[in-house]
Amino acid sequence: MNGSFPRTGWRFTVGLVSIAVVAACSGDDDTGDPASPTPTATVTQDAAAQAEEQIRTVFDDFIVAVVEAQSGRADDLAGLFEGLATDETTELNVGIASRYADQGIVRVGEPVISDVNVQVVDRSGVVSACMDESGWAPQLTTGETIPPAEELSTPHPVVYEVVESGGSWLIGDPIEPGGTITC
Amino acid sequence: MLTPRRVSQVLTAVAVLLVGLLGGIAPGQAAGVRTAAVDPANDPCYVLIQVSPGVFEYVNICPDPDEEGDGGDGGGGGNGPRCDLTEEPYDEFCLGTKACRADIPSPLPEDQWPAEETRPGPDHIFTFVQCRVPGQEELYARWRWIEPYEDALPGLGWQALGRLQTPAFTMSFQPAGLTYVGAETRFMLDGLGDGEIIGSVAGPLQATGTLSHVEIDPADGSDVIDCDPDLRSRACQHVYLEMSHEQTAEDFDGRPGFAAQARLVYDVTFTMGGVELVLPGVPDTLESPWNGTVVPVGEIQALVRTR
Repeated sequence: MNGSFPRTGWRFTVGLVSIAVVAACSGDDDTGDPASPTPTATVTQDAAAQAEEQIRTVFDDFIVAVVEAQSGRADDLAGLFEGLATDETTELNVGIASRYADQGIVRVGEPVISDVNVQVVDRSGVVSACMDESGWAPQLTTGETIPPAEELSTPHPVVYEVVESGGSWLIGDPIEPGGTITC
Repeated sequence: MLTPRRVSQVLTAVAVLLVGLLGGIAPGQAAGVRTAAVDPANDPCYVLIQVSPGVFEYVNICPDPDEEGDGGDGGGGGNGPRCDLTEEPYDEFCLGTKACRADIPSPLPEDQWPAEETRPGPDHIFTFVQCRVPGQEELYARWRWIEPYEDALPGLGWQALGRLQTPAFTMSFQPAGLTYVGAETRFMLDGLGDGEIIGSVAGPLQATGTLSHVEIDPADGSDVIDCDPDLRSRACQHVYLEMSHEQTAEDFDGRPGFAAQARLVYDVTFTMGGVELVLPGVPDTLESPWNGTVVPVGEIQALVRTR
């Protein structure tokens, strides 16, 4: 819950490393055999691991942008999401942040993100995480705090589509977590 | 229908009363140290809504000071519009001095709307509103409870219509299994219920469908028959004039037959608060999807010969 490395993701990475190690060893042994299928597999696995890593970074930056947008400190709201989110998701977040600004609400602190999990198939995927908003309270301009709603004060699942665009990954539409993810 | 409304009205009244009481208590607490955290928690103005899956937004749903006295409690001021409704698209209704438009029907499903006790009246819907504010460049955009203005009703009518579900029915025919050229083939439909379907409420509107008739396509190239499977005078009957051995559709026993099908046609009425309305541009009939059965048609002589 407190680490950003989910157990499943960790296991996956361990698996990848093992494959890479095995591939590297067999590569040493069979230097004269270019037909060996192992190097190809390594490349694919590396690409997947790389994509996953990129998505994790984009997701982390995206959450930072959401927090910044709702903090009332940013002037260029849309600019915060540049290179991080699709147009629709940028619009959704800019809308919420500007309505907060309009109503004199700022959110102070930040949410706690845990159990980030990434699944990629080809050029699209899904990133899911658990989000605890108890430390990310809405505050009025008068300084009064609206206690975060109960359902947000314990870790709850968030799921976003991720899409590849021009070689980098963007956070897309939020997806209904359904019963598949528990926090 | 009436009773839940009364209940919600009573609840609203109780909520208003509580708010009044709390408002009275609040100044007493104002000297306390914990006021900063306590006060808005009890503030019924701030609600949490889910604007997108897993994405939440805190919203102040209370009327602004400029709206005082005009319909904040669903009362309706009645002294004419207090805003300038000449600029499209912000020409639908006034919220105080603001000229507004609203997303109708609401993009937010009803189970995501704020608690019923925050609803100013049974006819209010919770939706996204955008307004022009006099003397202000920026648009006012907010999730709010609003009472749909008259011109918005057709939009809600479409939504109410979409909530009518036609029953899943099955079709059979007599003589069962195989009918004959020149014989009266009678179609029967099962699963029609009592012929009335009632949709869930869309904002203030509710649609009700009453089975008008059944349409049957015998699939032999003849016209669609309008009939009523329960009435002898308008029975769903057809006389096939050719055999079906060349048809590609087959029944469960592998016999080629005509792929006859039926659909249900309903007359639709809309009601608001129990009063029937006519909604221009919204259909007043509803058809179910087609559903069918394969009807093998033989010739009695041919059957005798093959036996």
